[in-house]
Amino acid sequence: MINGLPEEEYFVSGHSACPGCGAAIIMRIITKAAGKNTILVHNTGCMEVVSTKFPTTAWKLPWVHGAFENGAAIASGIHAGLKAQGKRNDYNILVIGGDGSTFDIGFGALSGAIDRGDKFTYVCYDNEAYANTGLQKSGATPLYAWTATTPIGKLIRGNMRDKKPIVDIIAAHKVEYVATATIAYPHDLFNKVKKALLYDGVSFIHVLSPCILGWKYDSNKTIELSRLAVDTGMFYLYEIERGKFKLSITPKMEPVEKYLKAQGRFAHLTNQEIEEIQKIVNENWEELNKRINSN
Amino acid sequence: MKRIGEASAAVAEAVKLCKPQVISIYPITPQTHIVERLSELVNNGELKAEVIRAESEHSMVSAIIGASLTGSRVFSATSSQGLALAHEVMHIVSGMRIPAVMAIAARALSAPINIWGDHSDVMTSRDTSWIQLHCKNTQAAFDTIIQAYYIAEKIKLPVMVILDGFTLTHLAEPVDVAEQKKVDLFLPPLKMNYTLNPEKPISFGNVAFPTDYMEIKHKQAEAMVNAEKIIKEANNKFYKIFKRKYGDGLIEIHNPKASKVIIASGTTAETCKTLKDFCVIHLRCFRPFPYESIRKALEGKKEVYVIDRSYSYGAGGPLWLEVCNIFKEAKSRIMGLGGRDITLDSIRKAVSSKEKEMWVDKL
Repeated sequence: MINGLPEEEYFVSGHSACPGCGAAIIMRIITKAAGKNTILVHNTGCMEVVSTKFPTTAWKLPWVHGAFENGAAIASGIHAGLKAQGKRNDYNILVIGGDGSTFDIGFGALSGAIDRGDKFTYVCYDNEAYANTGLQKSGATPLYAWTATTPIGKLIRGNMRDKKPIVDIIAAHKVEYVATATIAYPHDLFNKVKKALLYDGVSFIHVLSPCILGWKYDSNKTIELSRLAVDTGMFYLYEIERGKFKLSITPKMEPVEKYLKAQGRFAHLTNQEIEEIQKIVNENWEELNKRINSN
Repeated sequence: MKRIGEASAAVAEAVKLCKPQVISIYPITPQTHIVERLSELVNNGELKAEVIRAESEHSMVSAIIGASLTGSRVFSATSSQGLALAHEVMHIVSGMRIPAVMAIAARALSAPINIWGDHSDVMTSRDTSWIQLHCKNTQAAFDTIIQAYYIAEKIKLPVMVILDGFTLTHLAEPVDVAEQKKVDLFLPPLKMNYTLNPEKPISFGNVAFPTDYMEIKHKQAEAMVNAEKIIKEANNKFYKIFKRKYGDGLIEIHNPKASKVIIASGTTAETCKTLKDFCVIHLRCFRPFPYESIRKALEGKKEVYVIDRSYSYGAGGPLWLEVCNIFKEAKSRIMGLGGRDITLDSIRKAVSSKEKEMWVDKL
């Protein structure tokens, strides 16, 4: 139980997520924020698979899953159906997708729904790989990270390109609200979902989701790693509200080494590679400061 | 009231009379006239419906899942590459027992790219567990849309209403347009057994393990078999109200006494009827496959020619393969691929040879 959040649970026990799974904590917080009058749409992925083994369900809200890439399109259908019946204002629609379904295979469906002006909130829980299929590289995998399809070989060592700037890409569609969050700051995540649901059109929240198996760390470090990601500037917490950029937490800008060394997926990194990542993070922080100052 | 218009307009008119609440659309030749006409009807206030202008056919079909689960009646339409792109979702729609109706302007598949009519797209979709009804002319297109909603909503399986691309979609014929009150009498309002409702939260699209998957799929297989009865029932009920019927609903038999038979689907069957000494069976319903109706129709027949407008590579014409289960000496005639004209001369050629398989008119 997290102080100050509603006691009512909508993602309940019985699911089969790994102990200490970051995404399972995200599910609890975002459904608490959305509340009872919410319809959930889920892309295929870890949280979908662990939560609905027929004939059981871990969801105490109406929930629908179609395929890997079509959650946003199904949500468009729900939006239109409720609108046609004069019930659109009675319910929230919350779409949940992992990074594979959001950054990659379902990106077109999400972009299309934004373009149509359909109203729902999309939460991407990002564990930076196709974790459900055994940890393969996705468009969200960070630079040099190990995944099952970017192994540490003699010629090529890990993932050779940094992750897509998904929040900027979504923000470029001129949506009213985008934000980032982590479970190290649960109230921030809770409040951002509440806020997102108020806006017209598609609102988008990108949540970093530590994965014990994929990132290779002990299951009691999930919150700690979420906080380290923010403290080192590897993952910024911010929101863009009607074009206005606002940093939610000012990072301490601790050395990225602290974050990288805590995870087995970066265990192979040389000092030079760590320095390179530090340089990118520093540059990003400078860019971000320009945006903060321009507001 | 009779109106002259192309079959695409007749489909749009029939859809309007069925009062769908959500229409999900994406353009593709030769289907586009249907969704353009529907867009006009909505924008002119003649049809009260939400239109989802999807960014792909994959999303277009996905959206009807969401809309249907809110309890809305849905309509969609596509063709060829669009149906192929949506293929994954077609299985999900039927597996979730969504009573969707979709018009298909049947067209060839790439490569080579070809925008003209054949049945490659719908035959590739035959195992998606959508009921497949072929239309022989413009009036049939109009009537079949209305019957399709009755069938889909009663058996809780989706229905494809198939029009031959260009040959039918773009063919203008007089159509007897039904009155709204008669359509209302025929088609009761949609009642979904389960919807996405926070008052009664249910999960749709769960993971079924090997312990449960077969049972769920067997129920679906049973529903598909039972659909035969519902298709016949729709045909009979439709006749009582509108005085038009399509054989037993599954097949239509022209000149039943002739001992030589041609079996074909869609507009090709109409062309075949001009051959005087042949019995022509129009296969209206390809899925579920009407084995019993065909078995009865072929009793005592001497020669059977089956015309396919598509091909299962390494096996043969898909319709012929089915007919062989009943009449194993049936001859296969592959015709009209990629919009190649099926003329009376080509049909004469097709039935004058004793070859087992023949690609008619191929140079």
